[in-house]
Amino acid sequence: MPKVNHLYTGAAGQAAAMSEFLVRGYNVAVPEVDRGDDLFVVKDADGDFNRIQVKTANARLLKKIGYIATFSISISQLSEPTTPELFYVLVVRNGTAWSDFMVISQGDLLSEHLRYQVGTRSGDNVLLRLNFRPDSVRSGSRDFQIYRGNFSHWPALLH
Amino acid sequence: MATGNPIVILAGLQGAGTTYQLHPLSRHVLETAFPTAQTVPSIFVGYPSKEDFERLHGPLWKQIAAMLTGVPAEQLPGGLVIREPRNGREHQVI
Repeated sequence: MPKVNHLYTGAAGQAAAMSEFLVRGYNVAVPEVDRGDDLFVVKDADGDFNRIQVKTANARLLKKIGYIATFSISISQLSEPTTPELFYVLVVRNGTAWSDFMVISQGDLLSEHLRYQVGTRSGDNVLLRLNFRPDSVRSGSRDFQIYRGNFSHWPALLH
Repeated sequence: MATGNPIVILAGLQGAGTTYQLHPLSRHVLETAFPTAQTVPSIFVGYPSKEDFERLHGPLWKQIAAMLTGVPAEQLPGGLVIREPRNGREHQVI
């Protein structure tokens, strides 16, 4: 797969994340001006909505098995609680396919960073490095498997 | 967060109100000290505008802390601070 400008990769990841919500029956809105929230996911029946920040990374294959993906997350955005709560969708592109969607709330990710020292500070960002294996996702010593493909906050809707 | 530090509640000021959330390290302290306490993950309290934040919410901070921690504010170890992550401002409550 030829290397693509990161803006295109990010836009592609956002579209992939949108697709995951749409296929579950949720509507998706994209702000006209980018002020930090990539998407709004809306449950049409009652108007409930969530704020979503999508981050996309290319997988870096490991020698034996698995791959690594690194995401950069704004510490100021991560630190500030909001209503509705912000969710992060971390999308991994592995070769020619979307291999993983990690879904984690702002509260949970902040807890992982502050309480368990997950991620490393780089200026105003936290660099979150995830190690993917077939049956596990880890960041350092922390197990992130529960967030893998976890769209349980958005159960499939019947229309 | 070392023992003896105040309990910190994060306050995210938005246009129509503020979202309050217990700082993860404070949550860890309280889970150890009060393992059976009933808590809520966050609370949103409205206001007419951000300029009303301290005036309207200040008198409510002890109640907000009690709901977030499951513990009366006066029993919180080390005291209580409301912190605005966006600008670092802190409000000493207890």
